Amino acid sequence: MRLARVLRVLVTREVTIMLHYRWWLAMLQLSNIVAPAISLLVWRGAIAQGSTPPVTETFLTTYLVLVSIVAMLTSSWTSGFLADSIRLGGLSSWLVRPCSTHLNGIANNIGEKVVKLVLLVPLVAVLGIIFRSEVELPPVGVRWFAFAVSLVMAGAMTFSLDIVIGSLAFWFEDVTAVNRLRYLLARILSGSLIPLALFPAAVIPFLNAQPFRFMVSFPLEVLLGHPSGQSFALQVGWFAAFVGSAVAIWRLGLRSYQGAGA
Amino acid sequence: MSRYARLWWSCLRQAIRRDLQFRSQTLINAFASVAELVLGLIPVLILTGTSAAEVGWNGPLTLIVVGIYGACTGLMDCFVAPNLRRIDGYVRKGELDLILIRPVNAQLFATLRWMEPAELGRVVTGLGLAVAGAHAAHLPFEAGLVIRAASWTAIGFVGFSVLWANLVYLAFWFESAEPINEVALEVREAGRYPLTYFPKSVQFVLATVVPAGLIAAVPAKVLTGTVTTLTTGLLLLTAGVALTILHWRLASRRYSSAS
Repeated sequence: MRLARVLRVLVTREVTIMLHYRWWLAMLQLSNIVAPAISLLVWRGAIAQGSTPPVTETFLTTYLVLVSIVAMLTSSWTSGFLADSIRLGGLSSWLVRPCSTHLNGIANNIGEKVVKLVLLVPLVAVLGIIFRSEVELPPVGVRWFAFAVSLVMAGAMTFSLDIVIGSLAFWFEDVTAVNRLRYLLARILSGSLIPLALFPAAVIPFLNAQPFRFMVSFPLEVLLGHPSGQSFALQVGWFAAFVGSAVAIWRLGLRSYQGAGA
Repeated sequence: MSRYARLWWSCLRQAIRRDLQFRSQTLINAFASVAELVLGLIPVLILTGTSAAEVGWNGPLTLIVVGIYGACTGLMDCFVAPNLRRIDGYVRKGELDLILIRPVNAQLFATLRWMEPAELGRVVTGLGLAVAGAHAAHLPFEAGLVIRAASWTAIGFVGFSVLWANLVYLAFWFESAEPINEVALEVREAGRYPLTYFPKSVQFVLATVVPAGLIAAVPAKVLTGTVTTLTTGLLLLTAGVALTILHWRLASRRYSSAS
């Protein structure tokens, strides 16, 4: 209960801070929507010229219109801040407080998502209106609820991975290059550029099992398709593994932490 | 002119020395740069793999597009991007003072000073991909076609850099324009795809105002023997460079310095 109260206070503070950067965040949202919009244009162009992808045009269009919102909601930008606070000693001030630095990280992520959502939805709406003839959403019901649950687990997985990468700063001076590699892999394997169903059949079993799928693609599959119960179980398994790894690496790293000036 | 060549050479040596100081970081960055090219190949190959034969694009031709795109953007990320990414900070934190007081052309120096040699790994890999694609597509090796294709890539390189520079100069007019770099990078991604797939209006935009299509798609077409005249491209490029110099002059007048 106390944690919820602290979280609410922290989120309110973060939203207030984020509002100072609204134009900065608006430009970021513009960059978020460009990649799926390019994919949408080339794929629709290819279909118009006789291309035969393994999914319907409606699924492809709806997926690529919605993917920027899902990718934004399940993203996390904690690793850089966390690595900085470890390297520069800012973590010390959180270690002496009766509240975890990760609660602040969660509040920071929720705050940016609240502001970003307001900025991104109009852009997605414009894209949706342009391609409205091929956009099809399910009626409000169980599927939307399952989508929300899957979305929260996807967000928690990304946040946990961010803690793991940020925690590498306990041992390495700079984690920027590792982060770059992670983003490169995630861009392809999470389905944020094109639906994973478009990949060749030979690699589909691997793509369906790997964790990045559950960070962007899976929530959309839940909303637009009919994923198996086995897939849900796999997401719960990866969720537990990511959260567990984050907790273990954080605890291990704290043992080797030396505050700046200590 | 030789003074600027010496200055550029000094900047390059300094960049290499800096990279040698942080070797593991440089190695991971070089690996990531090549990985970016290889992973970027996947969606384009999937797209052309599912396309009908009459579209005229197949695996080998796609390899040429992605290869040239990778090599050209590797050069851009080594020599241009590190500088353009810093312009916002120069303006916001007043660091431009340190450039303006030097006895060199400030715009040129701000555009060429920083380099990231680790990105050059993508140039080698990209050219390798393009050569492999040309070989697999059984394209004849004609020096004239290669020079013409390289000229189009150069026009695309300078043209897109000029557009990007104008976007980052918004930092002089607005409080912070840092994320505009991300917008520019995402738009540049359109150059990875053969132009044929885009609607006609978008093709026109990608060949003129946002010349991402000139980086690789047009040069690849030229290599297949499609005749395209360079005059219009060169005229547009000259106009773009002149406008960029003018934009810098107008924008830098608004600069309020660190004091």
